[in-house]
Amino acid sequence: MPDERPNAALVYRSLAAAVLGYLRAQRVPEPEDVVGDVFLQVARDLPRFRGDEAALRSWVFSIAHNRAMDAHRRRARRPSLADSGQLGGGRETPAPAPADPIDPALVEALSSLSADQREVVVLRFVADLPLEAVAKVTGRKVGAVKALQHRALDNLRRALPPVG
Amino acid sequence: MNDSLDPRDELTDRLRALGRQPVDPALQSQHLTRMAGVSAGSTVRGALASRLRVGAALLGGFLLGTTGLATAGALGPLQPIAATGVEAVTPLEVPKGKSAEAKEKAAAAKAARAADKAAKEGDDDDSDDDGTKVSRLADGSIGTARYWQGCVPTSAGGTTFAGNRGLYLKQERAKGDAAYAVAKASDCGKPLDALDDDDADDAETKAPKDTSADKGKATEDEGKTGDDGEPTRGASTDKRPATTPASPERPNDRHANDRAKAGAANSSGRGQSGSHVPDAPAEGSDD
Repeated sequence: MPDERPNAALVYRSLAAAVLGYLRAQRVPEPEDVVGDVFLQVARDLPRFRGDEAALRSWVFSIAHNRAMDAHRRRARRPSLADSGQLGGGRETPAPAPADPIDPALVEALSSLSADQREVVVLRFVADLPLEAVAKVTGRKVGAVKALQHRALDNLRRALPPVG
Repeated sequence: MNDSLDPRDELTDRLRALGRQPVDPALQSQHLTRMAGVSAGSTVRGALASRLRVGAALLGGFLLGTTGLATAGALGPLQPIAATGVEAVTPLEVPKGKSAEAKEKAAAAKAARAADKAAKEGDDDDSDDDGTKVSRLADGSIGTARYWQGCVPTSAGGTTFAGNRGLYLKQERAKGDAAYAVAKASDCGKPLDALDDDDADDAETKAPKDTSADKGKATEDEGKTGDDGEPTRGASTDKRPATTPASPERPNDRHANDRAKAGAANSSGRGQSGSHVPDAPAEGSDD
């Protein structure tokens, strides 16, 4: 970084892929638009940010986590035609998978987890956050995050067919 | 990530690979363009907006706090504060109330009253037995002009007298029964107006008169007669009602006869009760 304070464009280039993967793993509808909203807020609030690179990463994924929650709530309040009428009769169904996922089997296995387990395992490995940062973003204790991560990995191993 | 729950296996590698998907360059360019527009305008507007928000929050907090305190009565009455504010910007005359100036005036007036009271306390002769202030004339009379001719002054060779009839009788009683009898028979200490009325009454009492006032006086005189140590029949042995008037129309009135005897012994020739009870003709003793 040429300046002491991080550049918004540089932050985007270093973290946009991870944020997009996090949103896709969380089955957020239209993740590309949500990525734009996340970094728009990052660019707006970056002058007031104080912290190192790890704190910056944790802060960006906190914004992404809140945007994902907002998107899920918005979808729950205004169910789409596919959700309510033709496919589920009003029952909430998961959003359709991304158009071109790298690993569709893994995304399908993630959708089989509970929301808490999926949230923890995605923040922990897709967003590549340490346990403390995951605990801070999700509002849980570190021990609870460890337990959720352990159960989530066990469930994923059982759900995914062995490779090769 | 070197903690114990960071397994480096095939599953976690697949999960991490999800976060390394490249963003479409067109989408990336679009996002960066939007971010550049936001970051350019947000620095000034954001700072101004944040300052405005902080100022509004402080103002709102101040208003809420002062309103709450005023409602709870912790600020005291607000009228003096408002009056001071109005006085500062307008030429109105606002009463000072309990201000320092008013307190100084009150203290000065209090000190003046205390000094006046201390100056008056030096004259103890003007106070009565019960401490009340009385005004005396040059001859010692209290309040009004009294009859003192031929009377005994308070000190030998002096020109002031006891003050009134009661004090004069008290003074003479201390000298003995004889002096007391003489004092009773005199008019010493009586108001001059009363002496004039007595003269008029003497003329009027030639006719029979039976009023409640006379009855009361007669009864009072009976008691006073007993003070001489010579109990009269009316005071000690007479069982008739005390309100029976002594009248010249009733020559058998023992009480009137006794008083007539006592009056005969007086040197001044004016009986004490002569102003109220007509002098009865002296008769012989019933005994």
